[in-house]
Amino acid sequence: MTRVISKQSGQTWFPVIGLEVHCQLRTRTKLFCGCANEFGAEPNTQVCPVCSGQPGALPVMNSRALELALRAAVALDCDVAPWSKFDRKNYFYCDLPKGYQISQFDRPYCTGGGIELASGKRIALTRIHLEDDAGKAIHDRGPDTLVDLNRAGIPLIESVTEPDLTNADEAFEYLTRLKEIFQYIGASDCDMEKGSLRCDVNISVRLEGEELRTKVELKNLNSFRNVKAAIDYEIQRQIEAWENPDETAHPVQETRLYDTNRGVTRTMRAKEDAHDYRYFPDPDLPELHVSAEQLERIRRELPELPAARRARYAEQFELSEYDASVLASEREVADYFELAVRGSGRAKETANWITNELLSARNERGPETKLEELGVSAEALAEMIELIAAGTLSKSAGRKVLAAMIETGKRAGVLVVELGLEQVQDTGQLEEWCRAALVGQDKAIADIRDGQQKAIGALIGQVMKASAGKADPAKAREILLRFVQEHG
Amino acid sequence: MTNENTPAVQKCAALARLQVEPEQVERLAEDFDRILDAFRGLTELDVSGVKPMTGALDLQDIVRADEPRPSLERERLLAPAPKVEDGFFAVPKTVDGDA
Repeated sequence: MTRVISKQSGQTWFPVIGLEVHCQLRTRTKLFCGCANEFGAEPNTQVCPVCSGQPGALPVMNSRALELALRAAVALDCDVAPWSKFDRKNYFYCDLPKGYQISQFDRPYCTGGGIELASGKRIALTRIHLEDDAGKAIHDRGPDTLVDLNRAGIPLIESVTEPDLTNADEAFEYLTRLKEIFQYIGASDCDMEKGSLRCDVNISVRLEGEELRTKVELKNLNSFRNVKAAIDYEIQRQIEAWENPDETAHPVQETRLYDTNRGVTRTMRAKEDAHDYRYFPDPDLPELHVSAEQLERIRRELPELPAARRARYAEQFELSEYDASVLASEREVADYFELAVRGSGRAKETANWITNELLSARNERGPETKLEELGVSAEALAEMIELIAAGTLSKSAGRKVLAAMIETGKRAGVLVVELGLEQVQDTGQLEEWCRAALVGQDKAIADIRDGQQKAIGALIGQVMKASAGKADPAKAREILLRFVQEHG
Repeated sequence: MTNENTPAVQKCAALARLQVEPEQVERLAEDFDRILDAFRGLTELDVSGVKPMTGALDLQDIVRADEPRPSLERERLLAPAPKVEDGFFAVPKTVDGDA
């Protein structure tokens, strides 16, 4: 339970937060028609009579959307309803050509479930339901609002949490976990920039022992970081508002938009009508039934999820919590890691090369880049790690080889020879470099003799430099220590 | 004399974006009376043990494969629109685009 001490009054407040997350399902077509579900097309080119709400057009459910929605439900440990139905949520807006959204009101396809945070705290889900997306209205291009209906009809799952969250960090972690899971199971890209994940926040604050106070809904949150910032801001705003002696300044039930530039939330103009969606069953869509066999198959086919992998990596490979977390958070990276470890048998080294070198190389190319695009297969990485383990290649030369592997696509064994980076094991040559490194280093030599072992590091560095990374640092260390003892 | 359904008529009209003249409200409110009466009759039936009906068709689980089909040509889609700009439908500015 997070407590927030008011700066003005010293009172202790408790934030109460729930999240509603919309994720677009990664299908090829829309929820109820065959138009493409693809981001970035020319406006209004992926629209048909069904998704533009033409009279007489009839929706037919996409079986793949149901499959992905069920995967999400099973992965989040929800109770899938044996049958559910679709309802019409009626409202008028320019991006909603049918005049209603097809959603699920009183019989969502699943309820319950949840996500466990690293602290062990479980964030419970109230429900997940299936619905179709609205089109996109653009307000900042000229005097009119411009409407693109490509997005209208794209399948969404909306997951709603219980008000279990108590601070911005928990919200951030919940979203991160949710996104990982949906990406793992191939249900959604969860790319906020493309709008395939959108998050609304319900938030209120209360004093100890109190019932819930008035809640505010926050919208327009286009990154996890903004979700965090908006929650932190809103908690302070509501505490100040409640502590204002003027009751008219107290928080009211409303929707507020987060202003990214100013870092504040502000009232969205109140709607002319209170929300009254007049839900009723969609007569065009029959009930959906899900059998126990279908669920069992989906459960069987589900990949190992990130939380399970994280725990296994720490246990089986003795990786640090950090390494396990980085590797397990993306399925592609996790699969790659496991394949490479199978090849090299060296988990810790493999983890280091992936997290330190490959992931930074990938991130340099941009957020969209896949590990695969670097052109270094897991087997090729394993070969390189074996060359280092065998003493053929030093670690620093390994870095050069890996960079060249990314550049040329060649295997490590070939590059070691081409680049002349084979580690020098020849004692005569090593002694020569070590002798040179000691010239004029009387102070370092004295320090080492005094037992200051770290002084040796700089000398090894000299040797590595002189050898262009080809010296075996362990051997160089032995020789240097021997020379120091013999010296003078 | 004001019918007790008058506010309901006005609310429904507002939600449906219908402009109802004051002289029509009274007549519609009387219609509401009859419609609501009919539904009140339904609520008196004993339906315990009857599975709720979710639709008029005796169908379930009608799904299709996730196979793309051609969309409309944009010119055809936009043709009936009162105003078009750059391939978009152009509509009067809506200030709060939250939907």
